[in-house]
Amino acid sequence: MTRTRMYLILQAMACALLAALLAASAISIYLEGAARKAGHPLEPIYTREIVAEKVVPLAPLFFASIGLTAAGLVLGIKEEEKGSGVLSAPKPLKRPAHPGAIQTVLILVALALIVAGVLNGSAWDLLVKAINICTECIGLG
Amino acid sequence: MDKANKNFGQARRPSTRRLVQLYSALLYNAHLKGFISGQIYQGQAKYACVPGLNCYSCPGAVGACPLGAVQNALASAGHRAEWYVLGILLLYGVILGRTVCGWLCPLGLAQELLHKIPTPKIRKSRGTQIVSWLKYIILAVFVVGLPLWYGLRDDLPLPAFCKYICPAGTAEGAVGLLSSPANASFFSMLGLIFTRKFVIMLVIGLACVFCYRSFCRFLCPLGAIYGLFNRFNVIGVQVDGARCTRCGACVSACGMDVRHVGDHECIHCGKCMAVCHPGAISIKAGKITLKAPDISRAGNKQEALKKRRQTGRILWAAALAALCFALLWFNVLDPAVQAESPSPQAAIPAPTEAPIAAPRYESDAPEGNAVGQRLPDFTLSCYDGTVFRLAEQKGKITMINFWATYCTPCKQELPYFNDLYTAHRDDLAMIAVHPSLVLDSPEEYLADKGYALPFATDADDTVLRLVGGTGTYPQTVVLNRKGEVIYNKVGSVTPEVLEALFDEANQ
Repeated sequence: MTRTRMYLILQAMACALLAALLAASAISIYLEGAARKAGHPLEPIYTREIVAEKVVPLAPLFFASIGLTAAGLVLGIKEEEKGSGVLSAPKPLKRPAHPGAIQTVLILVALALIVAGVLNGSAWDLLVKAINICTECIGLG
Repeated sequence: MDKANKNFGQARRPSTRRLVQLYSALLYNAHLKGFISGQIYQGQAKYACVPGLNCYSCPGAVGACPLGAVQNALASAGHRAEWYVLGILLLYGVILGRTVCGWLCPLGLAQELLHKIPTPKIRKSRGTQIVSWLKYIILAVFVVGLPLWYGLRDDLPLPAFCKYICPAGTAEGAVGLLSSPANASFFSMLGLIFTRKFVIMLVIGLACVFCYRSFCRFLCPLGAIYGLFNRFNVIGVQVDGARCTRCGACVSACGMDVRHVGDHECIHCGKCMAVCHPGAISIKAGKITLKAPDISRAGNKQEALKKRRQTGRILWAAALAALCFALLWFNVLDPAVQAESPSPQAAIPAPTEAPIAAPRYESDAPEGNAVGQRLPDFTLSCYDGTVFRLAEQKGKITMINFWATYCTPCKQELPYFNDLYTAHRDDLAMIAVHPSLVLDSPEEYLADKGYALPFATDADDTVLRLVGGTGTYPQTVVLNRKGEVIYNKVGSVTPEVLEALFDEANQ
């Protein structure tokens, strides 16, 4: 096994380990928190302190991984490039005979829809939803 | 010049595409002060969708996310035809197609940077080509099917892709908001949804390290939508059929699951131009060539190259000036930014009237909206014609719930509040407050629900400011019998939590 190959495998293991430990931390925080919450509904599952307690021990691995990546990038280490092989008949894709006409029609339709949307209030819908946060919708809970 | 002969700096100089990606990521998230204040931008610029995937709940985002917008539009299809979002998507699709993915998507940039981590890589194959169809299933189920189903059947807007999958929402929206010290209380609402999405984000991130643009190729429904326009989009790569020798070098060198240059998987990044020896591939906007094949191979003259570079410099100067203006506007000059309160506490106006004397329940706590403080008095006119005045509720436990017709968890938890109110009516004052931003009439929505608890619209958002609300829903405030805040948090509540809050306030 070459040194390059060893480096690449080490780096892959570091990335996978870091992601696995982060995921395990999140799951363990949730499971412990859910058990606490079952007895006391007002008890939070996540707190800054609990997150810090679980994540800070992973900092050395995180920085080691960053350092390893930086070293690899500076030294130009990367996997030897191999083509993926031609996976389809490589004839050029046929575009429509008159793309300009289709484009013009579709752009006009799009502009008409936008104007209709401004008039029927759907633009307002978009703004209202974009300036308010629905906590569940972004995964906060 | 061969890459091996270049010096360190030259070899690592970012390409034009990388600079455009960085530029668009910064422009989409120009509200930089939001990352410190923890508040999202609430100005008029959010009338416009940005072309790439960028969560509009990110504290920096200055435009709407097209994918979030289309899900919300479909969820509201029962109320009105959402022409606006469809028009915007069609416009971006026809003009740019998947050029957006290759050049203008912050998530695309993040995936490419992750893939730069030197590890063994998984190359594209027949297998990855098959898996790449998965994004069309995700589009059909999570972006179209579920929002339409819940929107039309239950009148509950459910942006299913945002809620269950979107890594941009987790990284930019959730983690972006949580990382601001001003939002420390947001931690208390995290639970299963966050844990699940966080793990999904990690899995996607890890996949991107090993497999080029994994999310983009296999999961992204926005790419699936833009891919539908890839055959006739205005700006993108085009192949000169007369020059093409059909060697297949372009398809072989491409990291995406393309079968032909320019097909629905092609992100128009232009990497194939470097391996096309006959110089058959170029990036064009209609008939105008934006990036020609290698000059020496295509036989262009040095003068043309010089002219092109000069035009490029002028364009970059104009773009940088626009970015500087955007940063100035979205952080300083925009009236919406100026209206942002430095902290929720600072937004509390002085009470308009002296509190009603009620010695037994009088509190000497300072006025404010934090736990332990006494919430200032306010008055709201309810839909049933009654008037709710906070000062008159002393001696009772008071609950104030902020909800909105366009917030699914808010609608889902209203019955819990109503049940609690019905069970403890003599001991509990409660009001459900809708903010001033109204899409569909709250009164119409409530007409057939039969809730006993009083509802009101906070016409000028005075009460929302009193409790330190920042447009994040739902929010619940609980006061003890003295009118002191014992709970003031955003996030959904369960019946158990409400009962526990009632018991705590009762002590």
